[in-house]
Amino acid sequence: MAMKRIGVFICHCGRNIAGTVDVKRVAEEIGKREDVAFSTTYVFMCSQPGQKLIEDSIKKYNLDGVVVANCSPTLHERTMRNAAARAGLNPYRVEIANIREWAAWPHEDNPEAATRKAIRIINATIEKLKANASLHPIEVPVVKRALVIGGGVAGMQAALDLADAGIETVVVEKNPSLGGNMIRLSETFPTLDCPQCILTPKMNDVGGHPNIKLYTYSEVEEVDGYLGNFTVKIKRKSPFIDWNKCTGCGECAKVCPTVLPSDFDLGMATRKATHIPFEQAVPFKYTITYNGVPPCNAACPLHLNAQGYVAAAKAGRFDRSIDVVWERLPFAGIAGRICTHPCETACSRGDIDKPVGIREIKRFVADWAVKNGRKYILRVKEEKGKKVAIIGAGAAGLMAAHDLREMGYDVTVYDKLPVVGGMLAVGIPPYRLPQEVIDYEVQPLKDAGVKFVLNYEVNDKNFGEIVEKYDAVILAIGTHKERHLGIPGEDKAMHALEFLKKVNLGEKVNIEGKRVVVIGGGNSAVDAARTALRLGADVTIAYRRTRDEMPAIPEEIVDAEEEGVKFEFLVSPAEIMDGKIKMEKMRLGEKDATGRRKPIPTGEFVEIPADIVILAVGEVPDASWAEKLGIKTERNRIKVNEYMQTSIPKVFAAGDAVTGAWDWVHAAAYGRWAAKNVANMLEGEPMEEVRIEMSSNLRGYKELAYPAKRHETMKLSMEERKTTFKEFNLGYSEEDVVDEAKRCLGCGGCAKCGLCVEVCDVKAIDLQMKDWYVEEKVGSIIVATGYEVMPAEAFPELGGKYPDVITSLQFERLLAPSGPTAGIPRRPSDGKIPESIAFVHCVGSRDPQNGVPYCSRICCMYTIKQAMLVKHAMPDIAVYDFYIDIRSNGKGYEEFYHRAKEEYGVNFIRGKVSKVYKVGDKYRVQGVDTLTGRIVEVDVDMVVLATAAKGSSTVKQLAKKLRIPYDEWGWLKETHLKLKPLETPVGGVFIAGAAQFIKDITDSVSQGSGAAAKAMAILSKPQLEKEPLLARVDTEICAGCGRCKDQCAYGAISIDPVRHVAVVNEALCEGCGACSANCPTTAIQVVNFKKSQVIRAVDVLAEVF
Amino acid sequence: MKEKKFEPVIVGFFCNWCTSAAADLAGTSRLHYPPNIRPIRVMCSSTVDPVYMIRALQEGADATILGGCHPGDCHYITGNYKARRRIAIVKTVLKSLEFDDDRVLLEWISGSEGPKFARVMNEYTEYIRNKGPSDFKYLDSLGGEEVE
Repeated sequence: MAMKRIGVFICHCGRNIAGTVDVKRVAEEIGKREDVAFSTTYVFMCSQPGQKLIEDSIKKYNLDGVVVANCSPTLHERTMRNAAARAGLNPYRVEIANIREWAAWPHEDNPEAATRKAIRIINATIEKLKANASLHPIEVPVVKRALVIGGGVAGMQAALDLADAGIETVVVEKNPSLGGNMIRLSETFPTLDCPQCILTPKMNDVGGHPNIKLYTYSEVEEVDGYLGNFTVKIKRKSPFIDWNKCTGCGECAKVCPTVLPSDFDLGMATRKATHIPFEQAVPFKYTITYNGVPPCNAACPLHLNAQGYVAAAKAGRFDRSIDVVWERLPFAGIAGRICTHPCETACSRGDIDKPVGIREIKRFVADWAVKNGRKYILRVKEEKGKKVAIIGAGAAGLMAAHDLREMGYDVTVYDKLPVVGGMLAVGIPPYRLPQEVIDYEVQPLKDAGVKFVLNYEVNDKNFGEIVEKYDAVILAIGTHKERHLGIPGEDKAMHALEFLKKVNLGEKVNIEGKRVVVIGGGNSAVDAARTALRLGADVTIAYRRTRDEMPAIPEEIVDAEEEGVKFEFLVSPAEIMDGKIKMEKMRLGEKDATGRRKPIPTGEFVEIPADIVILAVGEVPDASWAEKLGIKTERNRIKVNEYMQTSIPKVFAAGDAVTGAWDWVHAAAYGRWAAKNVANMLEGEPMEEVRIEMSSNLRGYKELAYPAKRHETMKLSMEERKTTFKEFNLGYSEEDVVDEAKRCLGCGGCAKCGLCVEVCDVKAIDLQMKDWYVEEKVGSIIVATGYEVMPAEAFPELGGKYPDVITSLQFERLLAPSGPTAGIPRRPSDGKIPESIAFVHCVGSRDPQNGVPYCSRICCMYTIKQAMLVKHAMPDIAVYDFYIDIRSNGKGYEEFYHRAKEEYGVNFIRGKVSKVYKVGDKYRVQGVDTLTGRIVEVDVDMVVLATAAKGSSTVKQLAKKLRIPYDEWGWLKETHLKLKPLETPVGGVFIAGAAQFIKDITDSVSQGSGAAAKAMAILSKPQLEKEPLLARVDTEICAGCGRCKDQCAYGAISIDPVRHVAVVNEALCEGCGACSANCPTTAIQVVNFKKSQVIRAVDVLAEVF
Repeated sequence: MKEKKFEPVIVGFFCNWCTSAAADLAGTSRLHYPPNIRPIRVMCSSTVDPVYMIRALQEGADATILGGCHPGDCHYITGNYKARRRIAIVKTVLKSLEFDDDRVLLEWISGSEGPKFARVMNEYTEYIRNKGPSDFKYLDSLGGEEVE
């Protein structure tokens, strides 16, 4: 039933509307409509007489609908609807036509157009209004609890006010302690109160209030629901310490070897990975900072905890260090000698100088364990009663044997060689890896019951028997086939592996005094060369590229050279003849797929004398052996699926036989995966996909770099090196290993070395603790997330790159009596007390090019305060304060400024600083004194930049979860800057303190109290009213297709299975209308936003004239 | 010879939470943009049925704008993504009828972006002004249907 007696009330808004829009003409035009019973104008419709006019007119003209043409509906829709209700008209029969913000103001330059636009907006609004229904608000219950996000001064004030009013309040703070930025400050302007004195009582009140539930080190993860009925999921970040048990004794921090920059002190001091941010912290509980898996651990195919054993070694606790290695690897001595150390390649110390000597540290602790009688013992679980055979006692086989034995399987290892170790034993010369080391580290396996059957070749004859006899088999046979060059005379040469194997197994190879040429540039080439050298030969390595392209471990190339191995580069063998070898000269071309420059033949030849030629040109995969056993192969490798399983289900494979020739650590890692999946298969568990690769983006704390070069290991004397097969590398000395470990930059934060666990009497520490979640139901939410300041590094031209050029907030820590320098300012670079300090205002503030367009409000005052405090503590320090304007607009602020000038003699210079640069030990501050027009240059020891404030960096994610708006600088947007500074468009969500915009403590506290009052107003009601503008279904035409259901983000729509029509749950519906746009039959529509209403309005708007 | 410059009619559908608020802010900040923009407030960009925009073009508009919250910022969680899909459909329909699909514009303008609102309105009006009138409204066979 369309309305027929509509009243239209056009507001002048003083001159705001009437100054542009011809309101009289508008009223006349609109009055011509048949459905309009009355139209008029008034100077202020929102005034009492204005409202009275509407009320009286409704009665007088018996109006059935009202359009008020005035300002934005966000301002006076409620006023006008209430007025109508007083006159007995249903408030939902009132619509606002926004002719101020949408017509008068943007078109104030064109009154005619503004007037016509106003008429059009009113006409469109009337068309929409005509079909409005009378509605009544829906009543919803309210949860009488509140949530405060942010534990700074504003949030704490809000929480205390709420809690004191008897409302149960949940406080979520992302840091381990309450206090926010305020607790970092030294003193506060203009009273010079110390925050430690005035804020800590509040912190303690919040921490102990019976109505407050405190979650620190926590973040809001998800927010659901609506005004009065929010459900909030809170992530509790793992502190790795059970706070119910922690007594705050601090024993853990005493032993923690991991030092990190103190985030509380903004990098002005260091702290341990386990810490309490400051003495007065609430709650007084320790928190362990863990950043994640560090690059070294991630790069390790076995994912050893490299940072962990390095950290323990740093503390001199080699016993703990070896335990950390042993957590994942029994073969510490082998790995410590021959691992290709992907950990070191990934180490972020390498970004500064050279990576930490991780492998050598591991080797040291492995040797330490041998010397100190510490033995590795397998942690064998209960016997499973199942048998596994492993073919091959090399890297992969030994690792698999170890893991399966620990899991309780009966393991037998077969190998055709007379020794354990496979390629470790026969491919790697004993001066690098003595057989005793292998035997020593295999002994624990034997002790735990792993059986080794040596000199036993598994072949097509006995393989079937083995498969029959065992529950599962792992093939870890390696690859032992050498690549052939196909050049004339190749049969005269010896292959490197064959040569090494003979020597390692003690066969006599007589090459003393002979001229040996080793062809190749890989590890085998270097090994063969150094072995030949030890047998008394004169050795030359001939490689077809240059030294830079040699794939061998660089340290070993150096070792070989030191021992006297000669090198010929850019030569490729062409023919092997008696007593000499013909080589073709090469030159380097473009880079190939491996990133190394390709050798290109030149056509020139040289002849090199050679009694013996050893070819070390690589191994090729060889799977002929497996083929004979009836196992599928691929590209000469054993074919396995993603679980390391071969074509025979109970047969798995790992190591070089699967991957082609690689290194120890990868073979071991694959062996471990094969073992894991064998166990999964035998226990009927789902198998796990092999995942060796892992990445870490963490980088170390460069600012904490221990100033030392990578330490070199001790070596055997050169004479012995050249003539014996004794191990040439003797590892680190005890002092060096500690120093070397100190070079670690601690990328992962806590290294999980476990030293703290040992000393915690109450057993509160759990290094495996995971984040967990809690859910809280609340009726209102207050966001008080505070601010951040721009870092000094953002202003390199003002010296932000220098250590002694810091932000004001950092300087607060240096001035704080409880801070790292006990309140005496000291230079971060050398700890010297400065003789002069320059303060620079407006760094990034009021500077849209380099920072933000706005004034950061608090900088003038805190800079004046800092200058004053410096003078107070050390009157001899010269203080220069470069300002543009002094903005001291607060109670007692201007007086404070004058005190600084007059009582303390702070030297104020009005002018912008253009440049700060280093001159000797000092920093030259260059600027202009705009009062005298002269260029000013001062040399100071320290510069303090008052950098611009911005919203908290994580606030944007939070705002998205809450669906509240924010601006590009991270400030949360209020509903109305002047009149609703605490409200957001989301009902029940309020903002307080610096989260809204940077403000001082006084204002933050006021806003905290204000937001609490706002929340109380909601929570004190017995029930809340919900807008009835929700989706409704016309069941006559609904076909139950469910397209509306798919659109609903709230799950408010379901399909009635009996009547087969859509049903809307009014408690969940938010009235967005997404459903209606997708409905093919117009069956579901939002009340008072029906399609027919919108289309009528569109028709008016789209009219050409 | 003086020819009256073509002034396009542009209907703007602005979501209640972001773009309407931006329009309010533009007005409050006294930022000027052409009166050719004829605005209607809708609760969410997702509520705008493609029919609304086609209807506007049929009834005389030379272009239409849909303004919503930035991706990820929708007051109704995902309404703006739904709007984005709907606009894609409108554009496809227009293209298949051989009309310019750039007469339909989708813009994300948040409540704090008053200046962006004014800029988009200025630029788009100028763009359509240069482009000339839409043919769509002259298409008799598509004449608008009656609404009850």
